[in-house]
Amino acid sequence: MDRRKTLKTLLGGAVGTAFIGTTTGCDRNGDPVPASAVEAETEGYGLRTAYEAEREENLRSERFFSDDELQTLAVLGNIIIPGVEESGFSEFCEFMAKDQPAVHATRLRGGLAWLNADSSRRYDGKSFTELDDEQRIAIVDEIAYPDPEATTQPPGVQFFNHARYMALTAYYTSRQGIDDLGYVGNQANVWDGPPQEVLDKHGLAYDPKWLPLYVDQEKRTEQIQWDDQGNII
Amino acid sequence: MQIKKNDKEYDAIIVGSGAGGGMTARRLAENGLNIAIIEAGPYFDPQDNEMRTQLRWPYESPRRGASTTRPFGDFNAAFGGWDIPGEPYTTTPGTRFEWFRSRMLGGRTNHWGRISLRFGPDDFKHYDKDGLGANWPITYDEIKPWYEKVDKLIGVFGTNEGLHNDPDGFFLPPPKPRLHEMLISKHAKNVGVPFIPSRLSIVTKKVNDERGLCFYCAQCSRSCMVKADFSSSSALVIPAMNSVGQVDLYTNSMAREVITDSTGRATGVSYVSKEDRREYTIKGKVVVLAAGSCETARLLLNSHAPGQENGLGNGSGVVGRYLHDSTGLNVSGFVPSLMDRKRYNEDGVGGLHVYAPWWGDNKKLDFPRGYHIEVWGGMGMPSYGFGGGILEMQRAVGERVGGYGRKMLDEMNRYYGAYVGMAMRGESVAMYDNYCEIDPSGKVDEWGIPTLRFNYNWTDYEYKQAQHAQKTLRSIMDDMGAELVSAEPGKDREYGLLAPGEIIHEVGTARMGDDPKTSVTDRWGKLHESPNVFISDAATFASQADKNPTWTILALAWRQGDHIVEELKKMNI
Ligand SMILES: Cc1cc2nc3c(=O)[nH]c(=O)nc-3n(C[C@H](O)[C@H](O)[C@H](O)COP(=O)(O)OP(=O)(O)OC[C@H]3O[C@@H](n4cnc5c(N)ncnc54)[C@H](O)[C@@H]3O)c2cc1C
Ligand code: SF4
Repeated sequence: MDRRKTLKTLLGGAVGTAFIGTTTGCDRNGDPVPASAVEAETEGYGLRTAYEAEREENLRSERFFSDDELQTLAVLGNIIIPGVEESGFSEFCEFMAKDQPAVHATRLRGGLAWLNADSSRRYDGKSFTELDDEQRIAIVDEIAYPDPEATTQPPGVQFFNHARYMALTAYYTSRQGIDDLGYVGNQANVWDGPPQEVLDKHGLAYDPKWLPLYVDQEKRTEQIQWDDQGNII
Repeated sequence: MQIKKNDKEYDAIIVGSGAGGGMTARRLAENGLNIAIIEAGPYFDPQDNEMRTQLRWPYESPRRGASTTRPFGDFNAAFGGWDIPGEPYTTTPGTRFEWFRSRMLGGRTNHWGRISLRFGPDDFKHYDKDGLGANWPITYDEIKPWYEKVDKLIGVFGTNEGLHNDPDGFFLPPPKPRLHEMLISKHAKNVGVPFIPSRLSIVTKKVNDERGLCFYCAQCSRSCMVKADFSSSSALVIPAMNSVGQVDLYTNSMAREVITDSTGRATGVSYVSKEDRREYTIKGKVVVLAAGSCETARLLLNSHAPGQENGLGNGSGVVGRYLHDSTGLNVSGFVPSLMDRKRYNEDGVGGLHVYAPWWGDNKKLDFPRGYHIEVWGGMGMPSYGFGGGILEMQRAVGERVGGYGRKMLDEMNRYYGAYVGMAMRGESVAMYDNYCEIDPSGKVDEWGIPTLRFNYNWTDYEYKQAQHAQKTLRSIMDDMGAELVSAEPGKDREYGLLAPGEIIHEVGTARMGDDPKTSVTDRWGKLHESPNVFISDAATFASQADKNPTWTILALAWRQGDHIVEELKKMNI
């Protein structure tokens, strides 16, 4: 483990030594404490354990898809969701193929190969990226609508389902998608129930028994006090 | 392997820093004792910005929050999961058990659900009611004062409902319900299931100077930087370290066994340091085991004293036996009337705002124990897998299934917030034949410590309860006009019951009782066969209730901590 990381770890408070105490003078029998694989450390999105950090470093040093494959993913992704490359779609596919290979690697790689084979068969040996827009859409339209009654779907449909799944995740977990969706949380808030118009629309109302008991957000900073029965006073 | 000795003798050594260990540590330290905490995982403090996963966005994670290394998602504050590299366990052929462990200061309380329910009077005497399992040696009235102390120190919101077996408490005011929670409550009432405000240990109103106020981000599972949720790390262990007592915290230290003298009195604990993989011992006048029910059983079974060759305190042979978890199953579906929702911040607290405590009367039913119902849904933050159900939703509303482009996104936006679910969490019956034991094949983990093997089967009691729950949950969903995702599972799928262990309420592996022949500890959680070894986690539970266990762990640990202080003062230990 390099020194920079160990330092960062120490600064992060995730102390690698086995001893943290309010007493001083106990240095674990004077033994030097080796840095080790059990240290927790930070990696930019909140604490990662050393196992996770090391694993991620390994994944990042590997490359799964070829340039061609990545380009094909990008072209297809932008058909599924226009602009999804800005949400990091192909990069996300690359990472997930290594992060969860059993789920994604062959499904995506095999699907891309299927797509190119299909393009080639139909359009004179061309790969999917070599097609024009109309030709691409012609292929996509044949695989984008699974038959809801069928028990198994043909390979192209299965691939498209998976690509759609990845595109939806990439998009809606990105800034653009979150804004498109209109999710407005993940920030400090004072929850005081759904807006009245929403309750009205759904024909719902608070139970009068509990209405006076819900937290009065105006008074939440005042110290709680109870009588002997547990009633708030 | 050389065993290193440290000559200092602590008043007490506590193994594990979760709910049980944290509370014991705080009580002993506040009483001025000199204690050591041995914790298998690293230091963790949710207030430390470098460790913070709270308020992060899904795109900050390369896997967009996927659960590759953390079962509850990439931002979840659990260092561990069902499988920990280098720390295996096995099950006997044909049986199932899933063992969730979290190795860090505060254990599983950094990311637990915060559902904080007292057990009721019947829960301590269930044998008297139905002749199954065993009574606890204590009554609700004996533990009630300790529940009150826990309520007042830690803070739990809820309402006093005057329900016989779901006792009132000293509650903070609850948050108003979310839209889907109001909808579910309404339709549940239609089918005869009463929902009430939930009871979660989240600070909605100032409880004391130690803790912050909830700002409604719905992310308690990431552990709260303002300490508005209860985590043992921030609410118990760190305050203990700042109290009058002396607290030495040994992190990354995996306890191996309790060391005893020839009479069975504990003299210390040995542990393997994860830094140098060497074994150390520390000495103490009292040893408190709180490593989590199964790990505590493992420690006892791996410890030996003269005459106690089958494991420390195991003269009864029931260490590891009567292991039981809550039952659980889930039903979810798409509610068309919740489509096209107006957007607003609906995060709320990190958990449900309403729930249904057990409302039934088992005397009139064909199964002995009850269950409660939890709910989920709403306009939550997207994470990995968002949109995964689009085909089912299109199908539910009669759209053409599949597609792409703007049309698909518009559809997805309309469906957002219309997907809801309900979970049944019930009481199972503690059985002698459900147990964990030291793996007879002689396996060890990477620290050289013999591992556990589990043997657990559900019985007809649980199957019948599950069938009842399937019917109930589905009838609420039907009343709401929900399109259910899956058909009702039959016997072949165990009526949808999750595997034992999956609800993560495993208890009972060193149950308390007055009779040393059938129980492991006395009413204080002290081993019958050792004068100074205590257990402060849920291993001592004679029976689980249709409630979650942690509030009871905390109350029992507080009571036990004060008892230990008294006994040390009186020189009884
Ligand atoms: C996702 C999730 C949701 C939950 N929701 C709820 C809920 O809503 N309500 C509820 O009541 N309960 C809930 N629980 C259960 C709750 O977390 C546990 O009941 C509680 O944490 C148990 O406390 P404990 O002290 O027994 O063990 P833990 O919290 O597991 O702590 C044990 C500690 O001991 C350490 N340890 C283990 N082995 C060793 C060893 N050999 N040497 C040294 N240290 C060791 C561990 O690292 C850990 O820190 C939930 C759990 C999970 C995971
Ligand atoms: S919901 Fe409240 S208590 Fe939970 S993490 Fe967010 S602010 Fe903290």
